Amino acid sequence: MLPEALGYAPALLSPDILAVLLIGVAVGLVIGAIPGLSPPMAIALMIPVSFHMPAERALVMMVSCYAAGIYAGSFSAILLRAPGTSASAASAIEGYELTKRGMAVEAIRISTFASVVGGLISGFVLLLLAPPLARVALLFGPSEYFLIAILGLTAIASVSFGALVKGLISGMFGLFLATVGIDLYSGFPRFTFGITPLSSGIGIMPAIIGLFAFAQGLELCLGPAHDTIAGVTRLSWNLMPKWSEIMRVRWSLLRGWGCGLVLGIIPAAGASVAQWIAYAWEIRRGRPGDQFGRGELKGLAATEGSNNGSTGTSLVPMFVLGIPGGISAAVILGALIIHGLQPGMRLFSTNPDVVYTVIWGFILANLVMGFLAAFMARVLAYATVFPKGLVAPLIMVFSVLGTYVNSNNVFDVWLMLAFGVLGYFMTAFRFSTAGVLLGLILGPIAENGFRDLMVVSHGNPVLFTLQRPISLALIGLIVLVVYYSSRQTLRERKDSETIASVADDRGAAGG
Amino acid sequence: MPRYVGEIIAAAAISLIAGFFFWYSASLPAGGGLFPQFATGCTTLLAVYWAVATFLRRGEPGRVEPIDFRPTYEKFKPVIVVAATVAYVILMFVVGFFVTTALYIAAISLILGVRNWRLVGLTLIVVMPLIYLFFVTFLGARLPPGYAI
Repeated sequence: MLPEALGYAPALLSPDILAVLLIGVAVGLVIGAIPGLSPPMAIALMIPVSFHMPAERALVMMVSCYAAGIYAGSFSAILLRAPGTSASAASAIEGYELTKRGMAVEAIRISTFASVVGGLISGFVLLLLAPPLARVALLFGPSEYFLIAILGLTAIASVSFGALVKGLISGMFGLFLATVGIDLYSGFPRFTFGITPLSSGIGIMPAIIGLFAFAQGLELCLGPAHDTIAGVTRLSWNLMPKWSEIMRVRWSLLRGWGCGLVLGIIPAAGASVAQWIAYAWEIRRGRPGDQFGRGELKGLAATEGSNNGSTGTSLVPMFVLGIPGGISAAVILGALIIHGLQPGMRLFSTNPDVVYTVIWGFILANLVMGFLAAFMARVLAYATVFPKGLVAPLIMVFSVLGTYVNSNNVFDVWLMLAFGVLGYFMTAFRFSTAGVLLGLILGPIAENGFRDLMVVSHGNPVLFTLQRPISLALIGLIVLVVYYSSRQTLRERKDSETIASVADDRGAAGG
Repeated sequence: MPRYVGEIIAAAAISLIAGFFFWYSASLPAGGGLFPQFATGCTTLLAVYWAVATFLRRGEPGRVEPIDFRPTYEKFKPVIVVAATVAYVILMFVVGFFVTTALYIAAISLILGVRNWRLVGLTLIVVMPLIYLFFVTFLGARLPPGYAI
C-alpha cells in the first residue's frame, strides 16, 4: 500500500493544491480559535466555494481546515479559558492555569508540538491502516458504546481535584441535562416544560461557552481592572519547544496520542471523549510534585495530543465504510458525495488519486498548521497581557456573538448566559464544570448505547455483553481505572492525614 | 452562619430538587425515565452523603468559619455585569448589534474600573471592524440590525 500511496505524494506540490491547503489551514485556525465557531461550520462554509474545484482540491481544503480547526480551539482555551471547540475543553483546565502562572508561551509550545505530531501520526495511520482499522470500527455495537461512555464517566473522579462528591454531583447533573428534549425512542418530550426550543435538547456549544468562556469573563471582573491574566507584561518569542520540555512530557504525549488514535476510529466518540479519557489517565499517573489542576504541562500534552491524534483516524470509517465518525467527518462525507465519489472500500481502488492526495494533504496540513499556528497563537497571547477590565467584556461579547452565529438562535444565547452564571458559582463553590460537560457529552452515548443494548439483547444485557470480547476488554479497563482511582484517593487521604498529624505534632511541640 | 451549615443547606436543596425530578421521571413513557432516574437518583444519594459527611466533619477548620455575607461593590460586580449582558442581548435586537456592542464594551470596562479611555477607544477601533469583516463579510452571518447598525 505504501509504494502506491507514495506515488500520489508529488501531487501536493501543485500550486493549486498548496494554495487551497493554505486557505483551509488559515480559515480553520481563525474559526477554531473563536468560541462558538466550530470546524464543521468552517468546512460547511467551504462546500459552496469548492463546487467548481476538482474533488481532490476541494477535499484537501476541507481536511486542512478540520485539522487546523481542532488545534486552534486550544488557543482560546489556553489563553482565556474559553475553548474554541468541544475538543479542547479539557485543555482549558491546565492550559489556563499555566497562563495564569505566566507560562502561556510554554503552554502554546507544548500544545503545538503535541497537536502537530499527533496529527502527523494520525495522518500516517489513516494512510497505511485505513481498511483494517475500519473493520475494527464495525465490531463496535451498543454494549461497546455504553461501556466507552462509562469509561469516559470514570474521568469525572479525576477531574474533581479533591472534591469527589461535588465532582460526581456535577457529572450526574450533566447526565441529567443530556436527557432534556425529545426522547428519540418514544418521541415524548422530557423536561421541556412547554419551552419549544428545548425540544431539540441542550446543545453542547452553549454549555461549553457558558461554563468556560462566559464564567471566566465573570471571574475576570473580580480584582483590579488593570491587572493582567498572566500577571506578566512581557512574553517570550521562543516558539520551539525545548528538548527538556518534550522529554518531561514524553509519556504523557504517547498516552495522549494513543488515546486519540484509538478513540478517533470509533464513531461518535472522537476528540471530545478522547481528551477527557487521556486527561483522566494522566492525572491517575500523576507523581508527587505534579500540579494537576494548577497548571501541569503533562495534562496539557495529553489532552492536546489526544484531540489532534484523533483527527486522522476519525476519517477512517468515513473513507472506508461511509460512516462519519463525527460532525466534521459527516460534512466532509457530504462534500465527497457532492463531488461524485462513492465512499467505501472501492474508493481506494476506483479513485486512489483523490483519496491518497487528500490524505497526503491532511498530513502536510498538520505541518503547515504548526508553523502558522505557533505564530498566530503567539500574537493572540497578547490578550493575556491586556488589562483584565478590557479582556472580560471582550470575552463576553465573543461568547454572545459565537453562540448566536453558531445557531442563529437567541434562545441558545440565553442558555449560554444561564450556563455562564452556573459555571461562575460552580467554580466558586468547587463544583466541577468539566464534570457537567463530560456528563453532557457522554450522556447521549451512554443512554442510547444502553437502550439499544436492551433491545438487541432481548432484555438480557449482561449475558449479551459478556459474550463480546471487546466489551470484556472494556469492562477490564473500567475495573482497572476504578481500582487505580480509588487507590489514589485513599493514598491522597492518607497523605493529607499524615501531613495534618505531623503539623499537629509540630504545633504541640512548638506550643 | 458557619460554612458547614451553608453546605448542609445547599446539599438539602440539591437532594430535594433531584428528588423531585426523580419522581417526575417515573411518569415518562417507554423507558424514557430510566436514565434521568439514574442521574437524579445518584444525585440525591450523593447530596445526602455530602450533607452527612459535612455534619460529621463540622469541626474541621475550613467549615466553622462564618460565611461572609457583607455586601461590597467587588462582590456585586459579576451581578451588575450579568444584568448588563441581559440588557445587551435584548437591546442589540432593538438598537442594532454594532452600536450596542461598542456601548457594552465601553460600559463594562467603566464598571470594572478601566479609566484608560485611549486604550478602550483603540480596542473598539480594532475589534469592531474585525467583527464586521470576519462575521458579516466572510461568514455571511446576519447579526441583529435594529434601527441603528
